[in-house]
This record gives sequence, structure tokens and C-alpha cells, in this order.
Amino acid sequence: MKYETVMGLEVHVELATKSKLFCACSTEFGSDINENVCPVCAGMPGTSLMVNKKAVELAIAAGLLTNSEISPRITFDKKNYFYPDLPSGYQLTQLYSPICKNGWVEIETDAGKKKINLVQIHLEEDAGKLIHDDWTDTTLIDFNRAAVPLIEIVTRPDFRSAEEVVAFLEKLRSLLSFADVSDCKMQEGSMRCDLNLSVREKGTEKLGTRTEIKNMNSLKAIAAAIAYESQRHIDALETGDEVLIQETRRWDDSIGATFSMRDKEDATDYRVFPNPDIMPVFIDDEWIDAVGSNLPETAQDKFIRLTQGLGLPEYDSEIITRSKNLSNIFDETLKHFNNPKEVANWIIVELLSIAKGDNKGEDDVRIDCRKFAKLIELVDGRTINRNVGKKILSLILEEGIDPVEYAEKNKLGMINDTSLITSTIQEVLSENPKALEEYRGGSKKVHGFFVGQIMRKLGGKANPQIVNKLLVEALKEI
Amino acid sequence: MPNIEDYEAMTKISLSEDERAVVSDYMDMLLDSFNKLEDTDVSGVEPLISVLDVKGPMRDDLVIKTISREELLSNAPEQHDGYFQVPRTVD
Repeated sequence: MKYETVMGLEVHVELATKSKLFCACSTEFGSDINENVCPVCAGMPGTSLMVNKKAVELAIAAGLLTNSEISPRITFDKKNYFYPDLPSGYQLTQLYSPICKNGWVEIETDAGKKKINLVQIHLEEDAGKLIHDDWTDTTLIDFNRAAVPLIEIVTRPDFRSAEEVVAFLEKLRSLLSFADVSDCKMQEGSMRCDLNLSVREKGTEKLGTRTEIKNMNSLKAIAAAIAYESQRHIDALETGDEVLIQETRRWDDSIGATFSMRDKEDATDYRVFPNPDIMPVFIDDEWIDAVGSNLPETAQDKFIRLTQGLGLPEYDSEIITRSKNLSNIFDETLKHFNNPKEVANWIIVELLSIAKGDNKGEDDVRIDCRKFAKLIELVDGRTINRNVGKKILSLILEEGIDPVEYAEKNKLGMINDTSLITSTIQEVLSENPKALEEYRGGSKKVHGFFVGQIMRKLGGKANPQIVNKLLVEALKEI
Repeated sequence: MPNIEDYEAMTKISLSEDERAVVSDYMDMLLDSFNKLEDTDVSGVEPLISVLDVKGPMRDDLVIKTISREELLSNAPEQHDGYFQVPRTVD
């Protein structure tokens, strides 16, 4: 029997505001425990809440980027629940008047293009962080994250495969991060997603029993959770050994399985009602147009500019426009050294390989673009050779050195002096009679060995083209 | 319609049998009052969220630190290393 997996997503994205949704506390990630908390976000009685205009603007931007209708008037609702991650006893969210409705996002997979429809995008506040401490056998609370603005993007059950889900999340991350709506870092929790999944016989209309999966912290984890949960549903349908129930399950990445999260008191009733303390926010066309006209270039626009405008290969452009951070580094470096192909090369080949060695992702590489541009210019102008350039790049990243000063001070300038190079070649050949013998015997490999020896004697600074040319000539004469 | 035990569970408040009887009576009174609204025809009437249908003021996105962590935690019955401390919520 052929089965089909039907999925929908709820994606939470932390908005890139400096302050919280209803108060002026900082939203900075990694601050000291409970450092960014005030009477408002600590839920003290008698405080007055005021909506952060920037948060509304970023939510409008998210709506425009996802082809959504923007609501002309929004309000906030209290979703009541008793749990210590929110001190007020309710979460402020938007059940009755979500800021965006009926959007869609186009994705592309190997199966082709597809439209994923959105039910809505609503604004809400994040909850605090709970730590269940074994040592004291208590729960410890850090409210720094409480009331940080989020948008929740709710899709229709339009997904049929893990590839589609991953493609959607990548597209969303690209759209939102390029527009500076959010940095969308899954590992830091600024983008989180819950998945609704059910399985039915292919060709049938009726949806199967649905489970909701939480706690997936990477795209890899999401794909693995989908594979696991689909199979669990199919097994249950095939064998009847397990009866599927509508429930929330938690993905455990270390075990590679989902587990039921049902607690003893499942009769949750959120008693959602409008919060009369927050005045309605009106969004007119003028405001929407202003947000729209200030939207930065999307990854897609940038890809077109890089390929068609600057003549970069699609492969290079694809890598650079995959990350807002890389594409910022590209643009900024290009301002100081206008050679797109070389700048792209240095980012993709050298910068990313150093980052990878340091276990950093594309979004986490940081470099002084002015120094980076100077370095590329030194290599491109043959003042220093590429290997020296790579070493200097590491030093820029580690110690922030100035490449021009450093190259001058350490006399790293490229050696183009043919008589010096020729005499070094002669030295190396006479010091290595055995290798020379091998060369005469027809071994071409020793050529590379000679180049290495010559470079070593010249401190790695010799112009490699000249070394090669003169070495070939010298070997011919032997 | 949730019964009194459901409300106890949602609010994490345990009542004695005597208290339940009293609270139950009050709840019935409240619910009776609200149920009168059921008889009113509200079709086509938008829910009223604020009587002031004017543009609500908004804040600019500025960070202002208003109280220190010591002040914040000074009301907390229990604290530990800068955290609020409460009875363990999961097993």
C-alpha cells in the first residue's frame, strides 16, 4: 500500500529588534542571567505596556516578503496558562487579528516548483528560559528572553516530503535574514519550528491522525524527525500494534526518536481573550508602502545582480547569496577592491575553509572587509604570492593585523628576482642528486619536490610562475 | 463547561470541600450573569476591544535599563545564582 505524509509547520522567528515587544529591555542574546528584565516584562501589576513600532514593521516586512495580506487594525490577546516561563500568567499573542493572512512562499525541490500557502503570521512574545536543576532539585528561571518579539508563521498542510519542509525553511531563512527581519539562527533558537504530521493512503482525501513534533534544532534534525515519525505512523497503520493518538511529541536528537510529551493534566484551556490594556494598532497603506520601499535586496535579486550584473558564475553567486553575512562581506569588500571574481574566490575558497576549520558557519564569519580587500589587492597585484596571502588572512582573522603593514614589516613581498631564483634552483638541484637521478629516470613527481625545496629556501615568497618556468628550463638543460 | 476541579487544575489552586462550595456558588452567579448575554443578538457586531478607537501610541525601538537585577530579584521568595527559583516543574 502506498502512503503519503501530510505536514504543516509553525515557525517561530525572533524579530531583530533591539528592545522587547512591550517594554524597553534589551533583547541581546547571551546577556547575564535576568539582566534584561524590568517590571513590565516581569509581569508586575500596574505596569503599562507599549507596542514596539519596529516589531510591527518587521512583521509587516515578513508579510510583504511572503505575499500576505496585511491587517489594517491589529490587537493583542491574552493566552492564559500557568507555567513559570511567563511571569504574567499569560502570553500576549494574536489569536483574533493576526497581522498577516493568506500569504504564500514558492519553494523549489528536485520535484520542481511549488507554492506553500500560509494561514497567517502573528506577533507574540517569547517565553523565559527554564533550567531544571538537578543539584538543587528546583526549576531556575531566566526571564531575559521573556517578551522578546516573535512572529509565528503558520502554514497550511501543504508539505508532502522532508525535502519540501527543508526547502521552505531555507527559503524563509533567506527571505527574512536578507531583509533584516531576523538573523534566523536555529542553533541560537532565533528560528524554531514545530511540525504537524499525519499519514494517509495515497489518493485518499481524509487526513490521518495528527501528531505535533517539537524540539528540532536543526534542518538535519527536522529531516530525521520526519523520517522517523512518518515510519512510526506507517507501521501503526500496517500492523495495528500501536494506536495513533493526537498528541504532542518531542524529538530526541541523540536517540533519533520522538517521545510523547503528554503530561497528567492535558485539559489545557487557554481562555484566550483580547487584552484591553493594549490599544489597537492601525496599519495604513502609507505605512505598508514605506516598509516595502525600505526593504533591502532579497537573496534572489542579489543572485541576479551577481550573475548578470557582475558576471560571476552561478556557482559562486549561489554560495554567496546563501548567507546574508557572506553577501554583506562580499558587498563591503567589493567597495574597497572592485574585482568581483577575485573577491568571490577569496570568500569561497579561503575565508570559508578557515571558517570551517574553526567550526564556524557561513553566518558566523567576521572579518574587517577593508583589510580583506587590501589583502586581495596585494595578491592580485603580485606584491605577495597566494600562499603568503593565505597566512596573512589567518592573521587578519586572529589578530586583526593590517596586511600592507605586516607584509612590509616582515619583508613578505614576492620575490621576482630571476637571478636569485635561478641560483636557488641550482643550489637545490646540486643538493639533491638522488631526486635528480629519479627525474632523469623519468619521474615527473620530483618536479613538485624541487618546487617545494626552492620555495622553502626563499621563505615561501618566490613568484611561483617564475619558479616553475625557470625550473623547467633548468631541468631541460640537465 | 469546566467544573470547579478543572479551574483548580488550571490555576494550580487547591480548595477544601468547604471552599469549593462557596466558590461554586460565586461562579454560578457569575456564569448566570454572563449567560444573559447569550440571549442578546450580536450578529454583525464587532467585538469591542477598546472604547478608544484611536491610534494606540507606539514606542521607538530603544533600549533603556530601568532596574538592576538585585532590585528585580528582591521580591522573589526564592532565588539562586541570579535566577528566580521555583519548585521543579518537570520530573
